[in-house]
Amino acid sequence: MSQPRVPFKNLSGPVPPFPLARGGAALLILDVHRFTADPSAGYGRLAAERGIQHELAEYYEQLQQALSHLERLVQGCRQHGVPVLFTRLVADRRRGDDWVSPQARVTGFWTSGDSPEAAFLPRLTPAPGEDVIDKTAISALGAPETEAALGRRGVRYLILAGVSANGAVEHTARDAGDRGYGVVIVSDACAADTWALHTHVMTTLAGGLIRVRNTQAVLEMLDGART
Amino acid sequence: MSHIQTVAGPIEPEALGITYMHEHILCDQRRCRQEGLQRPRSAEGLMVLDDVAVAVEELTDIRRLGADAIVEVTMQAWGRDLTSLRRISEATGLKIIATSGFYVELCHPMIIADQSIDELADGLVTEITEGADGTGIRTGLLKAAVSRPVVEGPEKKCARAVARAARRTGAAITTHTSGAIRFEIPGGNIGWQLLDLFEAEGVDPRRVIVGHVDENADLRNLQALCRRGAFVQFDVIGKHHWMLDETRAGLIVALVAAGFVDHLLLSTDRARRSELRHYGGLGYAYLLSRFVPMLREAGVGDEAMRRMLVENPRRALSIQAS
Repeated sequence: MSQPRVPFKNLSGPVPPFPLARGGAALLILDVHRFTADPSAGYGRLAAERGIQHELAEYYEQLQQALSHLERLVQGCRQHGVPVLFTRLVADRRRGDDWVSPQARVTGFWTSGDSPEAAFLPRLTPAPGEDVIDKTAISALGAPETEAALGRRGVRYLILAGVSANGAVEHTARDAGDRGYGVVIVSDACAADTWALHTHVMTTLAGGLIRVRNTQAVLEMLDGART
Repeated sequence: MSHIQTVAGPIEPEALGITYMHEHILCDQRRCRQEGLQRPRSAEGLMVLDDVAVAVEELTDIRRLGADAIVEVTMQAWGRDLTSLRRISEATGLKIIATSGFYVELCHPMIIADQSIDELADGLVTEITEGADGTGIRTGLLKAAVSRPVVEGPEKKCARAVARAARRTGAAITTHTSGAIRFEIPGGNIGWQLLDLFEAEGVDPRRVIVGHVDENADLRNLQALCRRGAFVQFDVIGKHHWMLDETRAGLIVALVAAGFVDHLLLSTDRARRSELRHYGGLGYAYLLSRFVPMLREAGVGDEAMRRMLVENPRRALSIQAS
């Protein structure tokens, strides 16, 4: 699979070290719930209604692997005392009945809070006390309560994983970098629309305040065993 | 007296002609630990070359173009096959120099965790002085590799072992310095940090080849590496996702103009089937058939070309008799 050229990155200064083991890190799991992760719901349901389920095969292939990495990542972060936050593609009740962003209203990529599609997967469910943020903007930082939650916890480094790599993960990473967070994208705990897009996104995202690592490397970073 | 160690035996340095300094002929990344998402039904991205007949075909191509030697940088634990390399050398008439050392940590053999730095160095010295993999075929170069943005962890241990083996044998060290983490390293490659480590171990920087400098290049960094004495190796020629060949040519012209021609080495680092002509890729031949003419067009003269392709490889690969 060919990698894209990224010549402007050659001009950029190097990504600074992120000493995650010294504290200030949080794990943000983006949009992994039944709507996005259960092939019979959400995205899968929308695709079935159009008769194009096969188009999402590569996404679900990646997701199946990513879920295992996500489980390990969440477990590792909890063991290290790293806060874990979850977002869902769910309408914001506080802004009115099923308020969704104008863009989500067009795409249809959202669900109601009382829908079964809003539920988390049994294997990847928030623990008591962990934040759950409902949002319909693509970037998690589009929901004001996300940054409020990060601020309360003194977060400086964001570990990002979830779906989609070329949607919420990419937008949140760029947004967070602009806001001064050090961002670590966990490549094998993300799924993109296609395999090619996964490669593309992971290649094009790295740089500035964003680095890309796999689950094993992130856990070693939390241990202080690697840069 | 010094010699260059090929898989067919030692030769005098003067017997070495045009040399590719960083290639894979047979390798198998499937033997390495795999991390990250694994795309089903697709091994095309992996570094796998396992067909001797295809290798003979490809290398016969470059022999016809005037190549005399090729440095094979696949090491133990991911597919080094010295017996087949000797057969390929015999079939093509091409001199092949094999390598000892350690690739990135995903491809480390189990012994890394169990052995001390000096024990690892002992094994490398044995490969260079007596033979490797139970074949009696000696290697002629050492290699260290880094896949992190700093030299740390098991890769640091390996680099130290390589340095100690270099001191004991007189063999040069070639290096893997950047790859996916190239945008996290000041200067674009880890060469400077590796030179610090090697020098601390007593290795002369003039015996070090900083490889993959054309994955993320900064002319200032390359000049600094040259001033420090190291070779800088443009060895992913034709791989345009890293950098355009026009850019490589421009950098080489600038380095030659700055007086650093004696530090320059060239190669293509073929490691995947898709990169071979047999499978529709550019092949090893690209260096001599396309890139060298591009350099000539850019103003690199015959003498500079001879130094990059012949004289510098002779110097880099020469092992002083102790």
